[in-house]
Amino acid sequence: MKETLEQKLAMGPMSGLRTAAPAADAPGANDVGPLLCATRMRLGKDLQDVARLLHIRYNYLVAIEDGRFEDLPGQAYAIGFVRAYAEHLGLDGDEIVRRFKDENAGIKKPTAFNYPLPAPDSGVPSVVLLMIAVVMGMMVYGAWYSIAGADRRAADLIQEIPVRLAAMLDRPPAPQTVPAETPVVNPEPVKVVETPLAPVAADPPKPEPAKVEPARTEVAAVEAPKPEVPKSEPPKAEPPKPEASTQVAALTPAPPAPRQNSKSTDVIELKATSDSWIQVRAGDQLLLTRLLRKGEVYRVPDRNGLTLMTGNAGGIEVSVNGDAMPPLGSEGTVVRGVPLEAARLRTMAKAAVPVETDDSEPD
Amino acid sequence: MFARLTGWLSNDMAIDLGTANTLVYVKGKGIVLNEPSVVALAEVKGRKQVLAVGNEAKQMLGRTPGNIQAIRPLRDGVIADFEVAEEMIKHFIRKVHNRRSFAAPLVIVCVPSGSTAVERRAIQESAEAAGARKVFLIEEPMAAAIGAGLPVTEPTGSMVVDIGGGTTEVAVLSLGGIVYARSVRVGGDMMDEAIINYIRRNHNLLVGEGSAERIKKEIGCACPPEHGDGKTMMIKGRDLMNGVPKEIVITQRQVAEALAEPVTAIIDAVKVALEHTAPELAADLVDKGIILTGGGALLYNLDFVLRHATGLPVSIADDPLSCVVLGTGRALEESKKLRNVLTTMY
Repeated sequence: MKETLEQKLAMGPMSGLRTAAPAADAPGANDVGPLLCATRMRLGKDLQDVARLLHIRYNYLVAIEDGRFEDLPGQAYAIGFVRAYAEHLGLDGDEIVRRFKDENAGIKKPTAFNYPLPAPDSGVPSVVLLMIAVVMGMMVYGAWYSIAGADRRAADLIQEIPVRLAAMLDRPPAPQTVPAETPVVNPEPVKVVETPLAPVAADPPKPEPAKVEPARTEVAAVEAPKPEVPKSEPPKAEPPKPEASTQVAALTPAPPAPRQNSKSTDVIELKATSDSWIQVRAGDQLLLTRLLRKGEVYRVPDRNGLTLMTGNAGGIEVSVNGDAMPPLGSEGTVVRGVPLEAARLRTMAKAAVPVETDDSEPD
Repeated sequence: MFARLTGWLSNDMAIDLGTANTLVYVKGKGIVLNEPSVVALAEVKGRKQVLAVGNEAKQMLGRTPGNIQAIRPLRDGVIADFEVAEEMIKHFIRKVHNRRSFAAPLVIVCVPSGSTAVERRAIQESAEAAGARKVFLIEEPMAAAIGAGLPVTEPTGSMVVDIGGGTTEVAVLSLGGIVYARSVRVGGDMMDEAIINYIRRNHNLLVGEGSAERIKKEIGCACPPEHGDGKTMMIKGRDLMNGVPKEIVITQRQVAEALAEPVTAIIDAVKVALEHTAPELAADLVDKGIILTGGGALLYNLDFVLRHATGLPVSIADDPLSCVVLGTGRALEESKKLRNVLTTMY
């Protein structure tokens, strides 16, 4: 008792204040605050004393006694303080807490949790961004679709053309080459002029048609004479050429010039009557090396100076414009240097001498 | 796709997988289950089968014949027996869903703050194996603080001491996170053990875990009574001297003496945590003090002892036994808002 008096003195006027009953005219004497206060008074305990014993701030205890819930630190702590205080006074803690909760409706609602979150980086709402992305995506798709559609139409056109082209392609010399070659015609005549000087008289006629050659048909042949005339070259050979180039080729086993002539019309084909290995060369250049299976047909390209080598002379049937030539040799014979030129093949056919020479190189 | 379908058929759950008790909170329903974490296994034709889980199994604890085993799958707050724990969780999930098939709930399980990654993974995997669609983990002190209604998201320090069956978690929280946490493997189990050891030493009497727990709950006290011996209680056990069953009377003072060691360990843990608290947070704690949660908070006069040891106001939370599961349940209900406190091991 002595101690409490001393403590009271030390606490100052506040402690004295709380010794008086708070509100005797309290509306509900059952209220937790007044009840606690009354009990404390009855027990003769000082509030400061209680505060020191319970280590609860004096202000909080005053708030509890006055029923000022909002002054307490928080719901969880308020309930804890009330319970501790009630039990300290020898009251039923659970019952007091229950009443305290009933009195303070605010205590029943759970603590709100607002987690501190970092502010979003940019002010542009994500929904807007999403919309923009969708619109852009649609535009890109539209553009791609239209481009891809155009491509498809072009492809369709191309597919139709080949039917017509196929017929045109049967005629080897493309009409486009005519205009391309015509300017070249000019230098050629120069050569042609030279050739008559050096070689035999028989040769010259061919160069002239070569000039004319661009025009591949008889019509061209008709035109041909015109340039010839001014040149006034040996007339003998000229007339026959326009008539039939084949004859000319037959007549003259001449070198390159006539071949250019025949090139346009002659089709040389190699047909395998049995599996045969063949090699086609243009000088040093290797054009083809393969095994022709029985029944396979190889169409020799329209080119000068091609030679054939085969490992099975008897298995290869050479034909010029569909006319079968005599066999190149017997089955299993190696034949080299067969010239793949219509004229020479025909001469060989006439001579009926198969080129059996194993080592005879062409010129 | 299938998970979503089964999700419709199941109730999401929050589980406080405690060493002593397991509490289950179902979304929208509240706490639906509170049973001891005990599983009884029976050996049938060489294969172990679950005989009972929960209350029923607890009654078998220490009274089983050779072919039955009553096991507590959790020790010190973490899984000690993986398969049995899985069976137990499976049982609880089924019980909550009224044995309905195709239940694949989202489950939030709390883990001690001091548990290792391996222990957490074990808990998560056993919950997944038990049929959970998705498993989240929440740290126990955070769950306890949320459940106790502490303003954990505010920029002010709060201290929570959760005394569970296996561990005591001491944590300081602020701004929605744990600032400092300390987990000591002292809890209700250790108190029971201390009582058993005390009685064996001083009375030559061997009592079972169940009896020790009863003594703790009825006359357990953190500090000896001021006058006299306090309440008394009759206890039965086996006399170690002549091996016959015997009954003796034990007083509150004796129990307080027996519990001195675990109580001191808890006080030390709180003191260490306070030493590691930043000054600003410590200043907050002076005003508001410490909140006690968990079954250990119900030990008579523990708040008084802590109050004197720390000089801070110590309050017991409202309904301390359910704080952790209520907090976990709150995280489940407001999983969008409280996603920061949920973790997963993958």
